[in-house]
Amino acid sequence: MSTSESEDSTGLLRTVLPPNQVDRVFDFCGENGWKLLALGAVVGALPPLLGLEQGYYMTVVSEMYLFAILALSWDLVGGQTGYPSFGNMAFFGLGAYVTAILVKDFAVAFPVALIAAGLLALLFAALIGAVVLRLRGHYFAIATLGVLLAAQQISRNLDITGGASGKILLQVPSGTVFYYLFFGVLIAEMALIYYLSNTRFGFILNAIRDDEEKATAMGFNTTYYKTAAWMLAALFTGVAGGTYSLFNTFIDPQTAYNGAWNVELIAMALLGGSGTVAGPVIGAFGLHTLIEFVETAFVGWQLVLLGGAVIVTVIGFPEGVVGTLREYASEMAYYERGGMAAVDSGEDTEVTADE
Amino acid sequence: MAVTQFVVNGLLVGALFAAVAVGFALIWGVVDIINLAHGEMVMLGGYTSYWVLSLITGNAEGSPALFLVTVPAAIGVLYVVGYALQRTLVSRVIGTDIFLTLLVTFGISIAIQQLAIQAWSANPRSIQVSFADPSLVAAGLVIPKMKLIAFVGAILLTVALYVFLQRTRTGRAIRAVSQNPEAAALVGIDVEHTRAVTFGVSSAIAGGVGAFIATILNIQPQMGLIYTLKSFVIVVFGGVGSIPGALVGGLLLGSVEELTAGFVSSQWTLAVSFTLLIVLLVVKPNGLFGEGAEQ
Amino acid sequence: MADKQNRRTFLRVAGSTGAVGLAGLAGCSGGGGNGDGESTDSGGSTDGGESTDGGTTGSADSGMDTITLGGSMSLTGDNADLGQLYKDAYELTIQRINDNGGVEAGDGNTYELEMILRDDGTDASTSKSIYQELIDRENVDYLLGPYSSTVTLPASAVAAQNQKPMVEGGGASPEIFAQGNEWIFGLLPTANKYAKSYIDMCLAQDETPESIAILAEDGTFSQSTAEGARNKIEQTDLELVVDQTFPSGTSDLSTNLGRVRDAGADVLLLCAHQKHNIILANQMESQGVNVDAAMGTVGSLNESFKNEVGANGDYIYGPSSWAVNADFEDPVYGATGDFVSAIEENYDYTPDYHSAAGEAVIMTFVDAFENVSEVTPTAVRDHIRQAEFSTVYGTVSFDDTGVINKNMLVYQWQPDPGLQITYPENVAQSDPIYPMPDWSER
Repeated sequence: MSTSESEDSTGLLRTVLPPNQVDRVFDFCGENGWKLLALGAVVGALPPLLGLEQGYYMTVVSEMYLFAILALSWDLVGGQTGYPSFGNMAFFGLGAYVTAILVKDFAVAFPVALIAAGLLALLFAALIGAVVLRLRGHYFAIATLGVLLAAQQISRNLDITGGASGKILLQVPSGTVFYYLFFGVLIAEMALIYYLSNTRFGFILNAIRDDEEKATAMGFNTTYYKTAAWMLAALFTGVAGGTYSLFNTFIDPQTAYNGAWNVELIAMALLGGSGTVAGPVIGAFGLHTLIEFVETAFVGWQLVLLGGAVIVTVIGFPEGVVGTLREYASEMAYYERGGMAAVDSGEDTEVTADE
Repeated sequence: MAVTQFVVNGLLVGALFAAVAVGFALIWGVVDIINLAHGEMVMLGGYTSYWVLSLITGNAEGSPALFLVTVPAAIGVLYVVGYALQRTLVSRVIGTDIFLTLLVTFGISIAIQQLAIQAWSANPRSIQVSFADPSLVAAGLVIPKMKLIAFVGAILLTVALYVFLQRTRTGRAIRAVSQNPEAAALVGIDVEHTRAVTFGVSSAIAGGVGAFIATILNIQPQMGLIYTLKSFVIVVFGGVGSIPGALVGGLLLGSVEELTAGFVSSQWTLAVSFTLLIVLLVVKPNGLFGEGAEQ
Repeated sequence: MADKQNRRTFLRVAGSTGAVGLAGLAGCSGGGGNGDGESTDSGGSTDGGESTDGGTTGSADSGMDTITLGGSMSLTGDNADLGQLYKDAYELTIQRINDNGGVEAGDGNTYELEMILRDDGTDASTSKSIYQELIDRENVDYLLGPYSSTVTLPASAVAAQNQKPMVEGGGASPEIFAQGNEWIFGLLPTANKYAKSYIDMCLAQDETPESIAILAEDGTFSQSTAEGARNKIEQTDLELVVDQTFPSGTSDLSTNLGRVRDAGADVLLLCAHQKHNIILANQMESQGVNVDAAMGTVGSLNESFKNEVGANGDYIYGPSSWAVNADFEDPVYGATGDFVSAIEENYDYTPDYHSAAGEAVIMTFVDAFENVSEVTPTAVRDHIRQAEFSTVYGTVSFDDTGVINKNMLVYQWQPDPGLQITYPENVAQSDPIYPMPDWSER
């Protein structure tokens, strides 16, 4: 119906941003991944040195790093391995509580508590993984949701967790410490996942996602690999949770095992582009910025706008930012090979690009 | 208090949860969508009934008969809402990744919640149904009359849905689409329309239950989440896509929760049901009455 | 087919929005996106550091200087119903003050008040960044506290860190004031006091009760209330026969009420919010629970509660830090009665103590502005500490931890005159109807 209109706009887009340029950027990024990551690490480390002080902006940027860690961890299992988890926040909550309890009740040093949090989350993931990783698809999603909700209820009923009243932690390091902690964990995680995605390990994870039976038939011990990915995700999520408990100065069952966050971080991974390293990070930065903006600018309507934004993005960009751009870029490659002329309606080329 | 009283309490509430979950299971089975906005349909149904009754009597109070008149209104309105949601939004993500469908319904859910707060404020509301004598007492068992009516209503809605699916032309079309959309399209079934009808019917039942919930408990814009979560548990108990399974699952969940509340403590009810959920998923992934749903 | 459609739409959207900026970095699946996405933020962050001297006193169009009060409220989420009460009271009070010519501050200037109110969604993970945003970006120096204890805790830490006074009328957990925080002031008696007057009242009756039952929701505030009640009960001869905690998400109280009935408790205390009070009123009837007295701690005195439960709400008690028919002097409204009618006129409901506490939050700042020689956060904080003044809420003065010196009154819904103060005796309007009649006799 609006073919001509879409022609015009895509035509305009092509002029402003030719697909082959995007393609070149992809190539460039592919070849220089490590350099770019190093550059990102340097640039990200600068702001506090250049005068960014503790306060709102530092909190928001720290929270962006936090969500990037969470989204990336989710994506390791959800996007790379194809196991859609609804329970990642269980590791987060566990890490948060372990840190809070150790620091507050046992006077353990913060770094030690943080390591303990990560390790316990890892251990917990190994135990839970043995049970839930036997399930697939919707069933896995629900089982992990069950883990999250059960963990939340249990921490609400125990004395050591402070019950429903939670834990108050007012003796905390400065915001800069948290900034670098979140940032450091994020860079480490990005580097690790980037490294893994080019190894046999990453390849097998993707093989499990694409067809687990086939992967098993090829002789891979899929249980081992997916459990390892799951534990790795739990480690980073647990450390992030441990950092968050002191960062927020207060945790209670609702904050630590935040189901809404679990949906948010999935949205971040998907909107950025799951199955990639940059996608979840971009999604986390973008969506968190949007949330901060909507919360301050449209009080009383922020959920309506946020809901609307999520719906529109999901319907409009089902592949996420990275996936969409990749598709766009490969479309040009198709033209260059002398495929259908550019005057042709976009329809066919799009389909072809997809195949 | 005796075991029987706990079980009775559980069954009375469980039937309502069951009827909510039946719609949830239906959408899941037929359209292959986990509808995170399902609890909001319950909420909207409750408000519809509340406002219709207020319109009639002026203060959301009335006789049982008068209240029952508002239930079809809730069912009708929610059918339209469900149909429209599927047609305009959800249909666009069918057949894509499971998480895309989840995100769309999540977006719908939070948007509806806040719109409801804007429209009706966040004050909890309830419908007062007047009885001369509010409870039946027999052999030491207390059975509130309104809960009994709600119980019967919820069971009737569930049975009606079952009969609808088994006996009517539309019902058969829905089952056909659920089994094989391509084949259904080949024999001339309008798949898009049928899916929207499924969504509508499922929301309609949730809406009808919402009306009953407004009488025995209360309604609030942010109430939906717990109903969606319980639907998850119940569907796992009963098996995806199975209506009798969801019914039994709901009754079972209600009983388990009230028994926990009675013998242990009510603070452990949710922890017990979620743990049970995980255990059941692992031990019997197709549900207690699953119809061989693929794992 | 549907797939194709999607792709077409995306291209159209992509084309028209021309999201070129994102495009460059988004392509880097190798992980370069991080640096770029970050740098945009750090660009804006430089003004974060210079917030302190900007102050909140800027010039408005009218030529009058303005002081901005900022805070967050539960406008969505679990406590959205109560959050609205504060928002309305804040808005109306500030509007009245500005209509009357603003605040004549002690530094000789006249200021107009302005308010920035955010929504925290009743979520404790949002309040930290909201308050930091208010301080750093909006340059707010005077903070209005949020509702509910869990949301208040992180917010109060931000206030202390930035040395900005925060006055709140909605966080009553004693934990908030046990942290040695000198920048927070609370206008509600702490949660552990909520049930005290009620228990005292019951014990003062001719037919002295022997046993009590506690049902408590599993939230910070309700748990503190229950804990306070348990401590109080230990000092009396009352026997605690039922002590149950239930999840906030659970709506049905039948089994717990059955316990109360079977234990034959004389007095019932429900530590929970309005939605559970509605269920309590309705299910006490259907479960045939005939106690001598029943009280719900929060939201049992609102008009909306009584509207929803009708006659089932009769005889139920509720605590209040404020009497709607009291007659306290107030510089803005004149007296308590004028405040009540102003809220009724503008918002169509009768205010309760949340509303009055909201008014007093604003008045605490106004009183401080009027009495300090220099309007700065520290001077305002120092003044609030030793202030004593009258508002529609009553006389406001704070103890060493920052909590108002106040005890709870007990109200009862009586069938004939309606809501009546029944305790303490010196302010009571009516005697409590105790024991409350059995359901069969109503």
